[in-house]
Amino acid sequence: MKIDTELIQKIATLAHLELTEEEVKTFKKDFKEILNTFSILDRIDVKGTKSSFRPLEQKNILREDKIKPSLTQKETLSFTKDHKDGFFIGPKTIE
Amino acid sequence: MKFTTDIVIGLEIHAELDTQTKLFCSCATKGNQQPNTRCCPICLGHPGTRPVLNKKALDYATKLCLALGSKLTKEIVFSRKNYFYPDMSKNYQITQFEEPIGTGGTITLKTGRKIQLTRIHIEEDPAALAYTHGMKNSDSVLVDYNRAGNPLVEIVTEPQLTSPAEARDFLNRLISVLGYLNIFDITRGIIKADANISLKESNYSRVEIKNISGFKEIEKALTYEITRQKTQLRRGLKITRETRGWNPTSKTTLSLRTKETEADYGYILEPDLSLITLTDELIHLMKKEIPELAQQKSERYQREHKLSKEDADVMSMELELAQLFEKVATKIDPKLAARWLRRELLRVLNYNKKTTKEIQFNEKEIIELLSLVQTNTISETTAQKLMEQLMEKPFSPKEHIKKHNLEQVTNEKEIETLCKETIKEHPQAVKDYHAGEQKSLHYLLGQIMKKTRGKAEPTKTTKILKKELKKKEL
Repeated sequence: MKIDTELIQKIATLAHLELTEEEVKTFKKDFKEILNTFSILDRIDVKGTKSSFRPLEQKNILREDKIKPSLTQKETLSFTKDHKDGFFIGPKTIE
Repeated sequence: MKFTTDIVIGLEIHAELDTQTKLFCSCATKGNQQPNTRCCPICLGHPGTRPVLNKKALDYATKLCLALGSKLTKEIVFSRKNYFYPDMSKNYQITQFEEPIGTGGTITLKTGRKIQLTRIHIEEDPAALAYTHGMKNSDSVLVDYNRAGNPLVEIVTEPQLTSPAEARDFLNRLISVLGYLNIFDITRGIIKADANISLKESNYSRVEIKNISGFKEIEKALTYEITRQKTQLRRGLKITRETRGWNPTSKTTLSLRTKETEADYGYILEPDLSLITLTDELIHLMKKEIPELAQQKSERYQREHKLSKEDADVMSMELELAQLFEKVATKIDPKLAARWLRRELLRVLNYNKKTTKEIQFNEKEIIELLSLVQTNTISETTAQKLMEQLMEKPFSPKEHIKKHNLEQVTNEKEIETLCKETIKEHPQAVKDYHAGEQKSLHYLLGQIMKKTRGKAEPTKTTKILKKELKKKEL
């Protein structure tokens, strides 16, 4: 995969991040290193091996439709300092 | 795909499944309306939590696929749709992408035209966002995760609808199926849609409208967008392929600058959910639970009760109304029953802004009322009034008319006396009638009805009144 400024910028946009030129440079270097490290996996012969998407092949785990107590509003909001009138405060969605 | 019609519409409909708990956790889907009171670490997307699929949601979606003739997948898999927006705390939505639960299927419109479905899949609802100063002017958004994780089915159609009215009919029929299957609560659940629209005049340049909420809004949004595109074209402007949002306050669509494409969502299979096999046993069980649906009922009513297609369609569209009709039709002439339920009951419901689910009385009262109509005991006007009163509080129509002396006056001698009296009391109207003023006849009839509180049998009264007037002319 070609790691260039354009790709870094696109990923940053999708993640809603603003990067300085300096940061783009660092990420370019880091991305390359990461991909390089993991490219070792490409050398493994996987012919005949079924793809696996889960660490454990568990099947048919379902839940009955029964209500269990939720957290209280206070408990829910205790995980953040950004809240108001019972709501979480999130970032602006339109520029 | 080759299009030929002037307008091409495709819909993606989201309907909430009427389960007690959310799709992947045991928080209640309804109840406490205070924000963030029906949440847990799973629907809040805390790290390390593990979603588990709600069996009922799977049952419901399976049933829907079977009812719409969608081909069921053998294995249920979910994917993560990655995106960064405050309505999803995990930064991904768990949905079905590669392999939806159902592929294909159809819904037959009023006209008999079949609309093909592309797919049906299950996904979780995002959180609700609120803006203190409107979408554009607020510095931040307020997020309520009560809704986050509610179970949705998304029904995607092929671009085969040709007008907003057809889209409305499609939705009506879809809601009818959801109601018959008892998997959607119409009094609470909201239908949401994304629509794509293209016009022949613009060489079918496709515009998408996102986030239309509510049944009536969908038709409005489609109508607005068609007018907008036509106006643009008339002014010589081009229709650009874009995504627009529906603003329910201004009743307009506005351009959304979304740059994301399907590839940008970076779908990966959801590794936290186990693989689920749709067993033949479950499919068989769900099949057994599917009742006779509206379309089959309508055909049966036309065949067995000789109802017109229109009456049969209306009687069968909603489960509650169909059940009421079937009970009433065992005692009352089905044609009369259909006519009264369609014209009067639905009129009164409409007026009171109520649904058939909210009717207080049962078939007993309706049967009593209609048997009084059938035997000519009461006039139609009286019956209409009683229907209105029944909506307020149930009572026995038979006892009511006895108590209030509302039986129809059918005795010809009695009617004759009434006519003579009225003619005497309104000489000017009589004069006008003889001068060719037809309105005066209605006026005189109105006076007789007023005297009898609507009890005079109208056909006989008209006949006798005319006869008496003729005598006066000589």
